[in-house]
Amino acid sequence: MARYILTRLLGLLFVLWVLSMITFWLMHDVPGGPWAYGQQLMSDQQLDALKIRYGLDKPVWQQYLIWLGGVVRLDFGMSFKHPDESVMALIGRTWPITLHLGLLTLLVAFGIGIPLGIVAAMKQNTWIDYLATLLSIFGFVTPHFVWGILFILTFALYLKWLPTGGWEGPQYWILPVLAYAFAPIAMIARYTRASVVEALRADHVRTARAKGLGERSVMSHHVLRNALIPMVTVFGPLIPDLITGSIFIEAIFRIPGLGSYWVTSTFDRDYPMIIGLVMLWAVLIAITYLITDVLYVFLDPRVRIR
Amino acid sequence: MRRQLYLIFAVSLIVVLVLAACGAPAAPAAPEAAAPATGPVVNRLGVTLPDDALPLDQQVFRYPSNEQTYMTWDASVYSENDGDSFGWPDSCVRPDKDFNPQPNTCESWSVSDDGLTWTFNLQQDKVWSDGVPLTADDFVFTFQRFARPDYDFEWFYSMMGIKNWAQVVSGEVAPEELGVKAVDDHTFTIETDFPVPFLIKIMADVWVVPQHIVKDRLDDGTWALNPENYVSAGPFVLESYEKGKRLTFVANDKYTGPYAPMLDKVIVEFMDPQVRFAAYKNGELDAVGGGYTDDLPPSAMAEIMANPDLKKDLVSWPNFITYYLFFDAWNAPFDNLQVRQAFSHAIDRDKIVNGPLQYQAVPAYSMNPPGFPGENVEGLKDVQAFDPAKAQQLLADAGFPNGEGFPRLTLYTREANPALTNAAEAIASMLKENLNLDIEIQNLDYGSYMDALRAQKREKSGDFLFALVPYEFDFVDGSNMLSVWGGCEAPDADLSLMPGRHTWYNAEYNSLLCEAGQVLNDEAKRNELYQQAERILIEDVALVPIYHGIFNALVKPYVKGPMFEPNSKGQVTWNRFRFSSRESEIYKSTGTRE
Amino acid sequence: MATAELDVVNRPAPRVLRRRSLYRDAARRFFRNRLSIIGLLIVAILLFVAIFADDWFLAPLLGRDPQPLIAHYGYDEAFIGPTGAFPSADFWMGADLNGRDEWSRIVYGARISLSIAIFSQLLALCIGLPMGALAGWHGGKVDFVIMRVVDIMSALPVLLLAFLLMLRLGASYWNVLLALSLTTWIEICRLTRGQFLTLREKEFVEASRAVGSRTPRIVFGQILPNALAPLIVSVTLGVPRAIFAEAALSFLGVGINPPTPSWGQMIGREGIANMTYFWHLALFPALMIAFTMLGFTLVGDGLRDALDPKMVEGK
Repeated sequence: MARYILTRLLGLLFVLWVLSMITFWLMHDVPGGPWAYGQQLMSDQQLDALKIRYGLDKPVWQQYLIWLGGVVRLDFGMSFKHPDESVMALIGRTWPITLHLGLLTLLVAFGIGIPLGIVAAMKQNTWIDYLATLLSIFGFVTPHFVWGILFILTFALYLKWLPTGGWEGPQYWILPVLAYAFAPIAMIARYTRASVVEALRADHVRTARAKGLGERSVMSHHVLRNALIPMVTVFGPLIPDLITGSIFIEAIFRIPGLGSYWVTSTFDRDYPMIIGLVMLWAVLIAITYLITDVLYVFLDPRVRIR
Repeated sequence: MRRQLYLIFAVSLIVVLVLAACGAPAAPAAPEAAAPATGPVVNRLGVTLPDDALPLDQQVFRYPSNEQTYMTWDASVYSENDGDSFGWPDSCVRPDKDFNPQPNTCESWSVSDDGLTWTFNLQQDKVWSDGVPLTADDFVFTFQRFARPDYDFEWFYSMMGIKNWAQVVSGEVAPEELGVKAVDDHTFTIETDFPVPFLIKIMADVWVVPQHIVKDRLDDGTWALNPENYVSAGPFVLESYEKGKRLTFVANDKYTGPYAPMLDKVIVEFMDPQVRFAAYKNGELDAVGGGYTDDLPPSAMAEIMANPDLKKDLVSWPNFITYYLFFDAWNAPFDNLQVRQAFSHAIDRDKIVNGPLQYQAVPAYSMNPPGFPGENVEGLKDVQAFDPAKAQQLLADAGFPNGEGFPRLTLYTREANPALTNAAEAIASMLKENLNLDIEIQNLDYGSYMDALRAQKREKSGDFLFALVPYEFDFVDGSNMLSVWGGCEAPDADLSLMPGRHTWYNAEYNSLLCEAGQVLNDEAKRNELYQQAERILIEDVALVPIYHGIFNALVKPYVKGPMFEPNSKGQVTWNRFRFSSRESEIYKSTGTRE
Repeated sequence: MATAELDVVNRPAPRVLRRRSLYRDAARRFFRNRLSIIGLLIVAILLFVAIFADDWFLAPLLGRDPQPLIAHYGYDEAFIGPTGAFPSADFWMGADLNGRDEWSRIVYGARISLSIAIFSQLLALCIGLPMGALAGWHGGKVDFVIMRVVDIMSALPVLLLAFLLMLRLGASYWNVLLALSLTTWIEICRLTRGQFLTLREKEFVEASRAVGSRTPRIVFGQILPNALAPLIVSVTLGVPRAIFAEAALSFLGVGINPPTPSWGQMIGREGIANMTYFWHLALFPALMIAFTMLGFTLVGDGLRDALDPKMVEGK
């Protein structure tokens, strides 16, 4: 097992290396620069001087090597957009907020989605099932920025229960978490229902019932256990998505998190931040998949690592 | 197991509910009806507020903005936080409501008879907020700091007349050689290579930098981001900067200038434009709008007009901004004047300003907007008047009858907001209807646009033909907006290095602008020359002006003060920051304004 | 039916019939599912609207510009109605801020949004399927290289990559299509590889190989038809995701160029910002996106149920 994990981590290093080269080339190939453009046309001298100031005067491969040299020392450079903060400090400042929002959302999404899916599966083709299905389709098909604005209009402006946005205390968490959780709730409920329905049909469940086991015991020992295992692979990838934030939710609800940087860093040509974010994402994805796979081995005795 | 799951469900619901419950009452409410006043309200500067003022702890003014990179202009003009509205280091002069320069840090000024030497006398008892006196050396240092090649203060083209400016910028001579010199502690002079009659108007934008703080940090503008370093000579100082959330400014108790604040605090909330109107209605902001961002989109304006309560809060005034179409007049098909004229007659500006841009614009037929010095709005309004028949005829004469054979065009916009895109779409539909031309619209972000614009002129790339962009004034002088299209020519300059940013060239236009620059102490004479120049611009269809913007702002009715007194044209302006002393001229009242 | 199935058992070469019966069974199961039929109906209606928005197929014959059929006006005809007019008998879905008929824009928008979503999935299929097949069939070094490429691509943040691509290439219909498919082919590649890995070990493939069938014949004749089922499901379910992604790009200002309408652009540029008063500008495109996602999701679910033999007995 340790060997397996080690191999995977080495593979991650390779992926990070190639990815950084691709991103580095792509972002420098986009026209424009990080400086603020004025209304007049710059002279060539000015443009050259600005390139020197931002360290963009050298060929891209040299810039890459310089960047790589910094990364070895865990120095990802200073952000162009926030020149008083390093990329690490900027992520360190904003990510905890996004993480906070993401984890709350996960809690709510699983807390509502899984029970909803189980109930729908157990009461198949009753009104509960239909309601749950309807609810999940509703949540699935509506973009979360639409939910965000709708919630602000309803709960802040019309009912005046909650502030329109900000990130000052618990009452500020409710609307963004709900808007953000809607789609995952729908997805989790859908998969849970499908998974439980399948497990209910399995032969050993039929056997267990035939043996005269109580319904509760059948559910807990035979159905849910088997139903929830395959879902690990589905829900794993959901997590990096949620904990890295959404530009829509964070902009609409004024949350000073990491989410907006996934887009604004490209507009601002904030190169150190762009590549820092790409690295962060790649590591997160790799680790999530690794944990998912390892977890799967523990949960399902039939799976063995080759 | 089943029970456990229900438990999870219940717990998660309870968590949500508890979160909801333990929150304090939601939005910060609008100021309560006044507590009975216990004598006059006096702020930390010792300024006594009017009788109807709310208590000092409620003299906090909140408005929204976007988070930017710096707090100072000496780092980068176009990425400064809105914070410098509070005149953080304070400017030399400040314009009044009619944009005439009034004494501020510079108490008085004079210009030599040849127009080449300006002398400025500083206010004697001016100090920085850390108690250090503000001297002429600070101004000299500020100019030297501006004159750096790697400074993206692109705007400084307007300082080009200052002696040795270009040489210092290019590094040929030391910064000390710049034509800005301290005579004594409270006097400095500016020497120019040629007369710059409007220099005093530019001085409204010279925000003096505290030399004793900045001199060791020439490399960057980050020093002012930290409240500990933020030293100001203006009415307010930075109290805290909560990254991603807000800036808090507090009245500067060392302030001695003519714009003593009444407010105690100003809070700038970083907020997405989409939610600002909602936050205003929810009482989380005291003012919204009055900028370019879409704080008040068409739906908000429609709602305001339909709602008497909101309409009372509305303050509208014209901005000096022109949205115009420009062409590549050096390449086909736009090198043909008839083609450009056809375009200029094919666009019905009235329809645009009464439709998608309702309440947000007035039609434009000239570069200089109404009320701007040297404007000739009346005189030029017929040159490019809407006339589809004439437009079709002109296009046919140019060799494209009914638009046949005309290349397929892309109309570019630069980081367009929805209003600008709407205008572009309206223009496209009119060109389709009146000239039978198919036009696609493409928005470019700032970086891509500026790269393309630069390539078009400097490298004559020729692939960037046609765009709709705004130009807003930098200083209120007849020369300013016309400088987009030209200026004094350097001898033997290549066409690609001609003044102005667009690919349009007219020798007579340039010589008129140049001649006007030599006229001293006679603004009427200068403006006459500017009018002649602008006529060339419009008749040669260097541009097709589409609309001049109108600013709309909502200000809560309890905000009162001299700010709301109209100017000589009867306009009440909720001014943009850098030209106003807005925050010094308002307070929060127990009553409401008219 | 019963005789046909008996025949299958007796025939010496099961290849063709095996496939036919698999898909025939699937079709039977699909059409027995009421929700799938609703989904199919929705998709059919949307496609109909998209195709017959105007008479583009007649126009070249008649030598004129296409005239609106289902749409009432051209999508770029401005100042037809008052700015932001509310829905009425004349303007079924109201008018937008440029006075354009919202109904016509919704109808033309169907063409853009659906075609982008469907073509981006097909393009992703065109990249992902051969790559996955190659990896799964060949194994070894080819597999290793392709899977590393997949690893790298799947570790890229999708939105950020799409953004960089759009800034590099410039906003346009084709570039949106490209950006969307570049980020979705990975999943298809993975799926195909998995299918090939399993199927190439199956008895009927080994039997073919034993009787000397050539590789293309095995791949195209035997493995591909059997591997297709999960791919069809994946592509179908990818369509709503692509519509959503296009909406997100447009919302952030790098999507389809105006005046061409797409639903995402209609919501993102004008709809959301003006939702408080001109509610129809956000509601109708949002409804259309929801409706489309619903249709394709139901069809995708139905296909999955129908094509997955494990599900048979329960139904």
